[in-house]
Amino acid sequence: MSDRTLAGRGRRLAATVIDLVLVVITGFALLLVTGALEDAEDYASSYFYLRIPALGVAAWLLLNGAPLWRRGQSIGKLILGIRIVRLDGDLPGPLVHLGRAFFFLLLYASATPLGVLALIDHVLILRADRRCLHDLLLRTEVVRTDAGEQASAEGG
Amino acid sequence: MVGQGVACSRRHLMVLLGMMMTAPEIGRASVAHRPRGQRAACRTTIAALMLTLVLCSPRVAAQPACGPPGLQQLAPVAWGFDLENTRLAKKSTISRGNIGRLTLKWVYGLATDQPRSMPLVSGDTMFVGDGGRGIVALDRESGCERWRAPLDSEVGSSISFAREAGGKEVRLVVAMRDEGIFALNARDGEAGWFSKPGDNPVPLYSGSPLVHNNVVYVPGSSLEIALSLNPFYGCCETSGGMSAISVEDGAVLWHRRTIPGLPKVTGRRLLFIETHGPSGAPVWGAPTLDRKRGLLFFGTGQNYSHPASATSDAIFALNTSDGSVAWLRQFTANDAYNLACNAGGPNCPDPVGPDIDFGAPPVLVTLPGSRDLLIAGQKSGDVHAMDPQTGDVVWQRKLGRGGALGGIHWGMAAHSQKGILVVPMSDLYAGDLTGVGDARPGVHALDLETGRTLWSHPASARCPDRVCWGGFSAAISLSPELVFAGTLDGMLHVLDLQTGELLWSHDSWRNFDAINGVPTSGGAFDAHGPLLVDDLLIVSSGYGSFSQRPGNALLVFQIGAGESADE
Repeated sequence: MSDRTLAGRGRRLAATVIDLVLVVITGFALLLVTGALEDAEDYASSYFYLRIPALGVAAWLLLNGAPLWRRGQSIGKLILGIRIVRLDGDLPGPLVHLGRAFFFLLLYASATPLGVLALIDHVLILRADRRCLHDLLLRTEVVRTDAGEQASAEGG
Repeated sequence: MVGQGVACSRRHLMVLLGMMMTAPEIGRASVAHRPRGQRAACRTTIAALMLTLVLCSPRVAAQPACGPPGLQQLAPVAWGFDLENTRLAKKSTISRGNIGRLTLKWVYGLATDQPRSMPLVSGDTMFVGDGGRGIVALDRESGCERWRAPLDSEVGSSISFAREAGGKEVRLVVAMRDEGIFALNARDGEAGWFSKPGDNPVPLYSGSPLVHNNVVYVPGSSLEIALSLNPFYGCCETSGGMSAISVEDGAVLWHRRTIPGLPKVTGRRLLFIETHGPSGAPVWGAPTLDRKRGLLFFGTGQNYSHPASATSDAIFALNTSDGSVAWLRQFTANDAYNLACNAGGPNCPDPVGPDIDFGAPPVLVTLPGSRDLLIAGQKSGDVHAMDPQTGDVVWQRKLGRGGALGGIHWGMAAHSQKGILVVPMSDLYAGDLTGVGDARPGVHALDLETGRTLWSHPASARCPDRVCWGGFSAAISLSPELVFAGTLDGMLHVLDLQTGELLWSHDSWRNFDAINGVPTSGGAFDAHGPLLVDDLLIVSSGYGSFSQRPGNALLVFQIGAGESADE
């Protein structure tokens, strides 16, 4: 896999923004369909607010579970033509995706103290190898899906 | 929820277990001479014991320096000072003759900037709802903290009490606004029973409980007024209510919904969200007891959703024996409103009502000719005098333009023997929910017999230094000769009861040097208003609920006290 080309920072940012928006929209759709916060009874427990992150996780899984498992791509990465790979170039397993999902969901908590962790995570994209904290911890990187074609074109 | 005497939770015990399994390096010096394995075990034990002491200690932080509170001469007996809600402090010694010597004694910095808990006072102690800190017992002379009972939620009511058999011990009964009703021992603050009466899954215990003859009467409001802000919420299905619970153990004796029938599905939006009605008619004012007739009176608020019920913006009379309805009189029909209307949300009822509830408790008076009247003040600015036996209207007056923030907001006062009803008028601008007509913020005295105006003290605006509205939203209070009334722009006034003449004022729109060292500032006077006990005037300044100026100052005035607490 020596012809891998690292994804640009702009593409990664755009893919993340797309995923953030899509998860929110899907979360609201789930909220609507499940009626999770529709009745007074739903608020009776002191922990009713935990339904909100639970809906977010469900929305993320619904949207990105299959494409990540099969292609290493979330919807945003699919649109932007980039994918997640292990350092050896293979597709990551589900545990790696769950680990990355944790950092992704941290972005929704940017206004809380957890936001510091999200900030540190994403500032590391400025490294030469463009690997964020979650890439370093999970031994992944993000590459362009058209790298092979690009290399061929350049070679030809 | 209130802890049952100790703060030890399952989480704490898990930490404790972890400590025992991992042998932390604590207590090294005291066990250094022991063999290594034994030392480790010993350290673990010491650490576990220390942690146990910290985590599982009683939830009462005793302050032995001040000693335990005395429990004699407790006052007031209810939010309205008496069971009839006249707000007349008959035993107050503050008079026209000595009002010039009323000065600030000390100031306590509360742990909330919208206090709505009125203290209870004994011969030597004040029991105070201190925001998130729970309830504190303060020395009446110095403000020294005798004990503190931490709670999981803010106290939103006056502090009622009941003497236990024998009369020596006293049980405090308090409403924790979004949790329920709880009792605690006045001697040391130890938690007693906890009760969550009613059938509302999201109750709001905003009104002050009334204790009489071993029964606690508990008003019930609902959090649904705020849940309606969520556009995915299917507004609304809960009902206000009144409950009677035992003062012994908090057991529910009866519960009366203000909307008798169950809500029905009234529509659907976005394919899935079902809306419901009728709902609302909350009770957020203290009830009034008629011992002679065995009736309990209270007012209700607006509906939260359509169809509107015939029980909103109404005065109820319940039989105290079983909670059955003796009579009911609605004064404004089809008033449906919730907070979604302020945010333009889809849960706002269409058509939206004026939100003119009865928050001020009805006042029961006996006129000089032995005739009884029940008098209710509405946020619309109307005063309604009724026959307490039947609810028939005797006279009515409209004194202000009214609106969602009053009109008559928190409480009127009456002196039966002098035949005077005193009505505070807020008339604060409330956007689209402002009433019609000319605003008449001020204090108005009416003849109890006829409703005729005796005198009026108009509010004055003090622009541009502060908020330009000096209306009277807080409940007002009477001593036998005087009227005590606070304004939304932070002025506390004392008027002559007979003439309305302004005799004394205090400006609380400033910072104070509090005895407990907490940064303390005054603000708007609102909610429960002044309390009069002996030669004391006790009032909290600041209330930031609806854009009024917040503040956390509990002000204690006394005849002849120095101004040493001032900054």
